[in-house]
Amino acid sequence: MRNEHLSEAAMQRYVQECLEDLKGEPKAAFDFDLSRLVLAQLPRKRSVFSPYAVFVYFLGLSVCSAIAVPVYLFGKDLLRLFRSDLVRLFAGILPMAIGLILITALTIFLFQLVELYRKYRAQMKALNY
Amino acid sequence: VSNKTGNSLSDKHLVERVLKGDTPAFGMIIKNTEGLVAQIVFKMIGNAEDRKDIAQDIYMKVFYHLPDFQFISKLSTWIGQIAYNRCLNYLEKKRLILPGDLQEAYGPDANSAYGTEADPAEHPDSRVMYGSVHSPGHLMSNKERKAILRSAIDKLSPIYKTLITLYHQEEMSYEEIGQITGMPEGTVKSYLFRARKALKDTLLLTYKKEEL
Repeated sequence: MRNEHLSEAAMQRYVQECLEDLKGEPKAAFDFDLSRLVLAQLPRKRSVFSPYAVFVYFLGLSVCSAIAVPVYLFGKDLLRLFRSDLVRLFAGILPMAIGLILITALTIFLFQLVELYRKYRAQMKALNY
Repeated sequence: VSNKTGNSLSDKHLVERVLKGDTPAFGMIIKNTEGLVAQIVFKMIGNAEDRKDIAQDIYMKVFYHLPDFQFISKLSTWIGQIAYNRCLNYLEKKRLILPGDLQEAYGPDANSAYGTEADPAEHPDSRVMYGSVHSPGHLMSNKERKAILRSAIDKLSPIYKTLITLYHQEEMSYEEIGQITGMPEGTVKSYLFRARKALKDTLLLTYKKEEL
C-alpha cells in the first residue's frame, strides 16, 4: 500500500492538469465526407429569383391598382352618386347594432391575429435553431 | 478578422457567395466548421449512424437559414448553436436527457450552485495551470492518466461532456459557449464547475483503487 495521500486542493489541481491534457488529445472527426453528402442534397444553384414571390407581388399590385385608380379618377363622382344610398343604408341601423358589428369584427380580427402569431411561433419552434 | 464578431473576411465572402447562388462555396463553409460540429455531435450523440444523419441535417438547416445570419456572432459559433440545438432536440426525442436537466440549465437557481462550494482551483480562467503539484500524475503514466480521463469524461452527461470539450479542448470563452448553448455565462461556469467536480470524484475513486 502506498503512503501518499492527496488533499482536496491537490486533487482539484490534478483535475486541472488532466483537463490541460485534453488540448493535446486528437479531436473528434467524422469518418465520412460530410461536405459531399450535404452538397448532393442541395439545389445546384440557390434561387435568388423566386417566380412565386414575383407572382404574389404583381397580383397585389394589380388588386391595389384596380381599387386605387378608379377611386382616384372618379372618387368624387362615385361618392355623389351613392351618397344618398350610403346614408339610407346606415340610417336604418341602430347605433347599438353598429357597435355590435364593430365589436364582432374587432374580436374576429384579434382572434385571427393571435392565431397567426401562434402559427408563427410554432413554425419558429419547429425550425429549432 | 472583424474585432466585433470574430468573423474572418473569408467567412463573410463565403456566405455572400452562397447567398448569390454559388452552392459549392457552402462546401468550404462545411470544411471550415465541421471540426467544431463533430466535437459537439460526438459528445452528445452516442450512435454512429444517428451522428451521420444529424450532421447532414445540421448543415441542411445552416444552408436554408444562411440568409438569416446577421454576422452578430462568429459563423462557426452560429453553426455550433444549430448543432447543439439539433443534438439536444434528438436527446429529448429519444428521452436520453431528463427534462430537469434543461430546466435546471435555464432556471433561476442555475447559478446558485456556482460558488457555494469552495473551488480551490477556480480562477478567472481555470484553464491556467498552477504549476506542478504533488499529484497522482506522478504516480501513473501519462498514457494511463489520459485513458482514465477519457473514461471519466465519457461517464459525464452529454451536456457536461460538451461543455468540458468546448472549454478545455476547443478553448472557447464562456461567452462563446453561452452563445452556442443558449445558457447564461454564469450557468456555463456553474456547469463546468460541476462537471470538473464529477471528474474529480471519478478520478479520486480511480486513484484510491490504484493506491490500494
